[in-house]
Amino acid sequence: MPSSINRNASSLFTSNGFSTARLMAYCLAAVLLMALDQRGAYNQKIRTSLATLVSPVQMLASLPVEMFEAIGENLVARENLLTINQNLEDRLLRQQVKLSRLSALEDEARRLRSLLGARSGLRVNTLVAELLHIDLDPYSHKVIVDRGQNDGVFAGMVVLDAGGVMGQVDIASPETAEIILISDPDHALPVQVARTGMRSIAFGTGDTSILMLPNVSINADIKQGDLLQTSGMGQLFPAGYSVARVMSVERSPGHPFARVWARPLSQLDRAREVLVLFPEKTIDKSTQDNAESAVLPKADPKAPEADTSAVSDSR
Amino acid sequence: MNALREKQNLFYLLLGLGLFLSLLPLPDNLEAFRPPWVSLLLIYMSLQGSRPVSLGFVFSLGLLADILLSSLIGLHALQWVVLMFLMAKFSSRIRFSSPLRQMLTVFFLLLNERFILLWVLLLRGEHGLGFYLWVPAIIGALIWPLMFVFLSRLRQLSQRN
Repeated sequence: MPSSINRNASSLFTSNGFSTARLMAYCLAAVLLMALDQRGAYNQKIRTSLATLVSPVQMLASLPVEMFEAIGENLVARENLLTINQNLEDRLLRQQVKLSRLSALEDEARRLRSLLGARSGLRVNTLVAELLHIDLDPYSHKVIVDRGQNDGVFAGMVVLDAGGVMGQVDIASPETAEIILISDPDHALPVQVARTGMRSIAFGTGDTSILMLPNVSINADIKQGDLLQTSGMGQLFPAGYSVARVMSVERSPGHPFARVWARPLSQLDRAREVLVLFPEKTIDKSTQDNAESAVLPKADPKAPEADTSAVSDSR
Repeated sequence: MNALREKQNLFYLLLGLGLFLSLLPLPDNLEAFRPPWVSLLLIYMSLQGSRPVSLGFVFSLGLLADILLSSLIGLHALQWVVLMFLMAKFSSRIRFSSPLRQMLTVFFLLLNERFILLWVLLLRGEHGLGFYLWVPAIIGALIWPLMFVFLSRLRQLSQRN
């Protein structure tokens, strides 16, 4: 055992001193090796196998540096990521704002398209107006639009939306116009049941979702689901526009008239763009002169006899 | 015997560490300032060892280093064989000299090593590295006292255990 240790030790520390001959031998060997290496005597195979042999050590040596680099990269990447994330968030916010605007525009476009569709069906001169203001008074259903006399709007013009008749221009200012909705308690609209052609008058109730036909005779042919259209009576509203759909018909034996409730087809409380309809008479002239003549004063709910007689005449 | 083996193991370990430190990649601008770890270790070993380091061992170590560092095979072997030969001749003289003289000796030993490198470089038709060729010798001499103290402490500790 001690001898093996001794031999082991002698591999590192030599017991005998060096002779110059030994030095010369080793030096010569080293120079020879270098010269061979320089001349490319070691072919690729030996080089490769040697490199393979020591590559684990080299990898081990480069490990800490790689680790540092990785950490550095990580830090840099994190910083970058934070910056990028910030930028992206900013952009996202901006895009979202844009997007919401776009979706609003899309809605608007859809509404306008349906309006245009309505117009193409009408083949009359129309003007698209946008709602500016809604009167909050629950008993006067009036809205203000951004078209006025300067656009050729005058009192009495019919206002539509995508669903149907919405109301009529009440007061036209140079830049704006006040529109009285069909649901206003003061508003009356000559209508006609599309199925039978029976004429009546639809009054506003003060509720945007309800119109009332108070003067339908008790035996009139009208039932739930009937479509009410403008009758064209009174020379103001052109005939054939959808107005409302009958919700319920109330016939009480003690009353001479049935009470008919209808739901407006136009979105009285939701529309944003409306279509102002030029009366056919004024399409070419579109002046305010015959505006006066075209004006139909708001129908008086208390005196609906005139149209009632017309209804009874038709039967 | 046991102490000798332990000392030897410690030196093997240190030489491995020295090779490792020589392999450790450094940024390019620091590469020239890398201390010649293995040379310093070999100097210390032949200075403190009871017997000179065997030339065969140093030769093999040099070949290993050449393969590891992918330098010209035989270069480190030649450098360290010469270094060990010189140390065997002069170690008894500088062992008890003043630290400054020791530093100076180490500097000249390392300078000799660099001369061998320069000689090889010139033989190969390469240009010398200019001032940077000599920087490791200066660095090695400068850190020699620190290394000497550190290694002596280490040896004392390992012997005490």
